[in-house]
Amino acid sequence: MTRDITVGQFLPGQSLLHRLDPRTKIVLTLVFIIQVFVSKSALSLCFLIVLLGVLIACSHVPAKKVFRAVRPMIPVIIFTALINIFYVSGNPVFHYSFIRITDQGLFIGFTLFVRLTALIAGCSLITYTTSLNQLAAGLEQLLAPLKRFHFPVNELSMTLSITLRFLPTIAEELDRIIDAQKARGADLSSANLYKKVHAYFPIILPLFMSAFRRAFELTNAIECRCYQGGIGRTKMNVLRLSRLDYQAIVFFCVAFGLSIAFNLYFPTFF
Amino acid sequence: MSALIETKNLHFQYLHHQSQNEWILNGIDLTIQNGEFIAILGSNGCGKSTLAKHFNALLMPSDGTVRVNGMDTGDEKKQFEIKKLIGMVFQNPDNQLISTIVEEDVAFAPENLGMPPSEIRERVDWALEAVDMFDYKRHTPFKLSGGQKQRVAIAGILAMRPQCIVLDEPTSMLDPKGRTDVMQTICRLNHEFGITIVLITHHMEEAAQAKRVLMMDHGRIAFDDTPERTFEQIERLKKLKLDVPQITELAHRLQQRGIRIPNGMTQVGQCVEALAAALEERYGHH
Amino acid sequence: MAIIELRDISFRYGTGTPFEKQALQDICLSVEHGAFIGIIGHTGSGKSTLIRHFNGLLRPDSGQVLVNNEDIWKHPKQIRSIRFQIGLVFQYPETQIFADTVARDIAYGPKNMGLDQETINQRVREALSFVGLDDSYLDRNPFRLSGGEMRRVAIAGVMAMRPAILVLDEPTAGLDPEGCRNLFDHLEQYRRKTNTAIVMVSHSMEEIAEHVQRVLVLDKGRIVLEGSVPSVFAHAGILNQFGLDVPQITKALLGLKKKGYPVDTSAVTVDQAENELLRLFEGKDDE
Repeated sequence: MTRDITVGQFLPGQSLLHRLDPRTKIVLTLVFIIQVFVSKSALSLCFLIVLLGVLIACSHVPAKKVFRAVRPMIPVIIFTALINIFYVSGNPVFHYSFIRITDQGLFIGFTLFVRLTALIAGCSLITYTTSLNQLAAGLEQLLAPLKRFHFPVNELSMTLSITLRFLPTIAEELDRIIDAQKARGADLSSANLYKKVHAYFPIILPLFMSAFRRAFELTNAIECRCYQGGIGRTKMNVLRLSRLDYQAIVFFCVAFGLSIAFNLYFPTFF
Repeated sequence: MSALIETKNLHFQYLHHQSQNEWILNGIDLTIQNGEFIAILGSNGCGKSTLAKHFNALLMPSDGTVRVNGMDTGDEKKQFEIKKLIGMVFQNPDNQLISTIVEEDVAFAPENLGMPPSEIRERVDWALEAVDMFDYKRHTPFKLSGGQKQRVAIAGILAMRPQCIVLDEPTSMLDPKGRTDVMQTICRLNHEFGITIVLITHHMEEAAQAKRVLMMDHGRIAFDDTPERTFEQIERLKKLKLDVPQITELAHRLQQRGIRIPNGMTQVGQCVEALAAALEERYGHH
Repeated sequence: MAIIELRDISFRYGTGTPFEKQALQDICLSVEHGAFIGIIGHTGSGKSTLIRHFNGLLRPDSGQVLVNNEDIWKHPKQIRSIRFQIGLVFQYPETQIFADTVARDIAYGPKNMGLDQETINQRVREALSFVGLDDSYLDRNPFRLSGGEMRRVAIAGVMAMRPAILVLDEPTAGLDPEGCRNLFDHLEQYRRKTNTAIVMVSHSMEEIAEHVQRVLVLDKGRIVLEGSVPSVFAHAGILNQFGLDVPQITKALLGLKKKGYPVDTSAVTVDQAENELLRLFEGKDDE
């Protein structure tokens, strides 16, 4: 019990990145991802690393934390890099039995490693500097044009918001039910899969019952507060683009342009 | 003074055409005036929550009518207006809060009403101030205590600026401190802002703070009077499976032993004064 | 001999995270056969954490939990057997009911103990009778019972393990006055009949005053007051500091004393207060 559930990894703060409008951050993250994929030459890769360094500095998030976000992905990254090292053709630099490593393979493997690391580090910055609420609000506004095609944007964001709100409550409830059944001697440690499924039934069923009960009560509560779907709804906190957002957008456009230019004019490896 | 809520011959049963069960509400005639503070008592299953849900059109009568400011709750065009006038707070604060940030939760109703952002902000701040939770407006409700959560839930209703708030056992899941805080908030809403309060409760001490007490039994109103007169009827309360406040019980027993103190006392202060007076009186004889 | 003894229990939550919190500190307590003990404290004072140490749902960072004089953590793999001796009933226990008949739900605990079917059946009937429900309930759907009945079925589910101690976390929360009275009548009968000790967490000072023999007051994970009911409720001022209260009746007597009347304020129930006040009135008569 009292397990602290932090959905996402938001670190409150007042840095430049924190102050950006969530919509700007979502769009610019997409731009950054594209940039990672087009940065293939050595120079543009170096530039990408510098850019990431600047962004981390602007976020006031300790670099250690950023790379901690990458850590769980490292096996995948290394695996991908290794596959490339072994399978890309080029001038062999090492040859033993069926193992053949080429210079190009090495380079591509290495760049892939750097690019994937940068990709995850960059994406982690948005989750570190934006609360899930802001992210949801940003997404809702960005998707707003879809309303014209009868896409239920408001309802979607409402669902998202309620999910976020109830995750910790349900997790706490789950802990409580597990404890209660353990107190009646439930044995949840069995290695046998069939037995395990069987043992979890007295936990899953009450959890569902409770979720339904909550949903029912919540429906009443929401109805009492005059909710009628998205129609005619306004927002207390209206998102507004500030000067900072425009500056950030210009900055990213320039960075993106430079990246492309480096790729075009200095496509060599070294 | 005009009637805020008026029920006439109100009967209710879920799917009443097919159901063989007896009425959950069996002919309720009730008038609630603007600005009243009413407590509804009754054992579990006596129909008090069901009655409350009729006040803001969450449920429709099977027979009879419910009118709010003259509007029939059965009239679908009026239901939105009725929900705006009569707010409802439920037992479990966890199942009423919908946002991960306190102020955004309180903003939910005004947002639904389509108000301009500046007006919403004003109402949210006012409502949080009224329940004494302004300092927590950027907090997440998950980390608050039960009493604080329930006050946020009340603020969420208050932000609609309703004329009446119906509270269905709002303190039953709270600890003593949370209970006192919520009760103080409720009393304040009635005294300071003139909001009509309908409080459903099991706690006689809480009911004693109202100005009018309704007792329900098997879907009917068994008794409708002031708290003092209600708690005089100790035998009758017990028959309805209810309790009386300890103070009231004590006074009643002392009376039977020939000590002259007034009936139907509910507050500790009152009782101390009465006992002191009785002691003086007896002491004075000698 | 004590059934359970807690020696200098300390416990921290979330060690090594930013949410680290001292939940219990130097808790010592013991429970004898047939005792009725109350635990009070405001939300977050550590009551739930404490009772989770009784049956090994939580393991203390330091200190020992002894059941029948043996450290329950000596063989961590056998911790499950402790749970049959120390029965824990959580808040709103009816929300943990899962089976389609009352009998099957009550049988869950005894089944986990590995008892044979005949013994299980007998235990189920016995437990059901402890909570005042007759055999006609055995085959009923627990989800169709009233709230009070469901609560009693859930409690019977723990009683069926025949624990030496029954620990209840706010057993009357949400029940109406009649339901509360009913539950306490049955708990009291059960305690007398089986000599099972009862430990009860409650928010209602009136309930504590009425039923228990000994009270523990928790604040910030420590036991700050302990003793008989009148001795604890004599400290109205201290209890207020901890966000707690004394029964209404005690408050009235304290009020009289403040006005200068020679009244004994140790009464915590209506009966006791009535006697005390009658004594006071008659005493005056004699003057």
